[in-house]
Amino acid sequence: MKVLIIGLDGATWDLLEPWAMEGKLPTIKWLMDNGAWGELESTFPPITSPAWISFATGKNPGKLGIYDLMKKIDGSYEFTSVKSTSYDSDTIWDILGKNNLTSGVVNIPGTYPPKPMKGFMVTGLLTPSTRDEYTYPPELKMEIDKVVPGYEIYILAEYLLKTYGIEKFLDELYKVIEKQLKLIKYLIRNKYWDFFVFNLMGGDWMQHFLWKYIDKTHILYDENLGHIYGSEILKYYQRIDTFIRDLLNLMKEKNEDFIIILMSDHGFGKINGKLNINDWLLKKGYLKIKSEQNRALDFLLRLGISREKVNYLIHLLKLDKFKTILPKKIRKLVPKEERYATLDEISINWSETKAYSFGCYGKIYINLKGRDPQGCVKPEDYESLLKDIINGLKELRDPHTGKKLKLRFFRPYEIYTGNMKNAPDLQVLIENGLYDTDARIGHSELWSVPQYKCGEHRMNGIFLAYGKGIKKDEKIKGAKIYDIAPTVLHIFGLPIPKDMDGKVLDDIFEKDSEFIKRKKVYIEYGREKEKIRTKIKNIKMKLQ
Amino acid sequence: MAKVKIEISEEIYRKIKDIVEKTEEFSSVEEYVEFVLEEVLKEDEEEINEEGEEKIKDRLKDLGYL
Repeated sequence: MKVLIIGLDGATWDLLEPWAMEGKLPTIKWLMDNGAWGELESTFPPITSPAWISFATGKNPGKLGIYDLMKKIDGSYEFTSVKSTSYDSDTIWDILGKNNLTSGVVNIPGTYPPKPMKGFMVTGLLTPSTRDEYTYPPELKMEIDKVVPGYEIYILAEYLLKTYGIEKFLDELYKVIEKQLKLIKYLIRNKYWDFFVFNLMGGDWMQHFLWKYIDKTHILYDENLGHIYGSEILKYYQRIDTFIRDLLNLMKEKNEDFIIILMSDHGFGKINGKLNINDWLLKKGYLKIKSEQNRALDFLLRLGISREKVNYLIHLLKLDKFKTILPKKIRKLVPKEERYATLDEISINWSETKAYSFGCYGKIYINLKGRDPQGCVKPEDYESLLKDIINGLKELRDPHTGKKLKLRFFRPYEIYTGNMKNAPDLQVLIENGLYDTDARIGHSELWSVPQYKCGEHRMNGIFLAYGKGIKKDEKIKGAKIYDIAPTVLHIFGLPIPKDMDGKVLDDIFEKDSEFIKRKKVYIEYGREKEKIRTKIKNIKMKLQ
Repeated sequence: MAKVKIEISEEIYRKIKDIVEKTEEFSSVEEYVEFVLEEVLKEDEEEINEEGEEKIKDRLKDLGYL
């Protein structure tokens, strides 16, 4: 048995289903007719890193300590990119490897640096660059250089759009995607594997920046531009549809039973604007910054120096590795073109800051005494402060209509289980994702109208399974991203760790299939490793 | 990844083998030993290469994600 998971980052049935029904995506339509499919609920927040890592581990963000692309460093106000070392949990491919099954993992976010495994890995989003060690085994990198010279993981999406426009953005996107497709096909065909998973981020990039051209209800919709660029997202999925057809044929050639799963980490929809949440916290007096920092930023902006301009020039000249020769303090002084700064670029007066935001989906962190290095909020004031912030946010009005906003607030214990380490104290969902939050500081207005990033993530991703023992033309409901890991283990006849949050998706299997007949086995798993980690942490602490 | 041989006492080997057989988490004594050593040597997140971190942040900003 072979299981192939095709990840289409950000894919949504809101687009794919009508296109498939209209005959524009013939392979996906064929898979829908011959497989089981439905929505796949993402993590909250529906962000690439927590969603893909939850997929890989079968666990909710509270058990992983991953809530965004960046992770809070213990006992500090700093955030670092999510890495494969950021979570203490085995992945599907780790568990398969222990059972002598070989995996291929390509372009999955949060897998850098690659760890030893039974099989091979090409890391994805949050890899510094392809000049770093981004493969396992390390020799695979040289093979990639020969098979797909110039293989890349990223495009500088927003920068390309701002600087060169949409044509250059599309040109660069297809250059990167075509190389990724070539590599994936090569690895599927030429390497031995039992389980293969890959992710393509092109849909996410396209939908973030081109949504306004396909959605006539978007506040930025322009009929002329819609006419010119309105078919670009479809064209991308048509390319992917052809690629899936090729993979389907490749799988059939292998003369072995197989299951293909098509999935996305989250859905997509329009965005009407962003609440500049740190600017709001600043205005309300919850966040305090040191005033001299603002004067320095203003001075450099007047000189016309922007970090984006400098960075892109360095990238074009392939001088990235020399960039850090400049002292960090000097690099940080070069402001972003739009005059906004991320939290780490501003001198925050932490001893007087009560609350701050980092990342998106309104993640608010309380600067709690006894927990945070310069915490100033007494534990007894914690609840009342959160209540004040919630009440303050409830007073905000829709910047376009002036109407009251539908806000949903989430405390960690309401949406997560596990130790919920470093979870934001509060998260805010505005109008079901129609508005997001921007944690950068320095906006003159409380709300920003989207200029480039006009589409954002939604909770409903896609799921489709096709192959041996899978129902045909079956619409399923209630699938969650955590369910895929236990479902894959069950397909391979392996026991399922009890601490996985997902369940086996029984609805996708034919009644007389081996997967329904086979008894599910649940095991205690991970306790021994946890015991070892705790012992080592304690020894390290004693040695400090 | 290339491997080298290291000798350990039989007593420790037997103890680890017992643990490995009782749990599903390790497929061999070697894997157990490697896991323990990796955990011992693991850098704290704060110590992670600053150059790599800056590169990632710049990429995310240019992507429009930060």
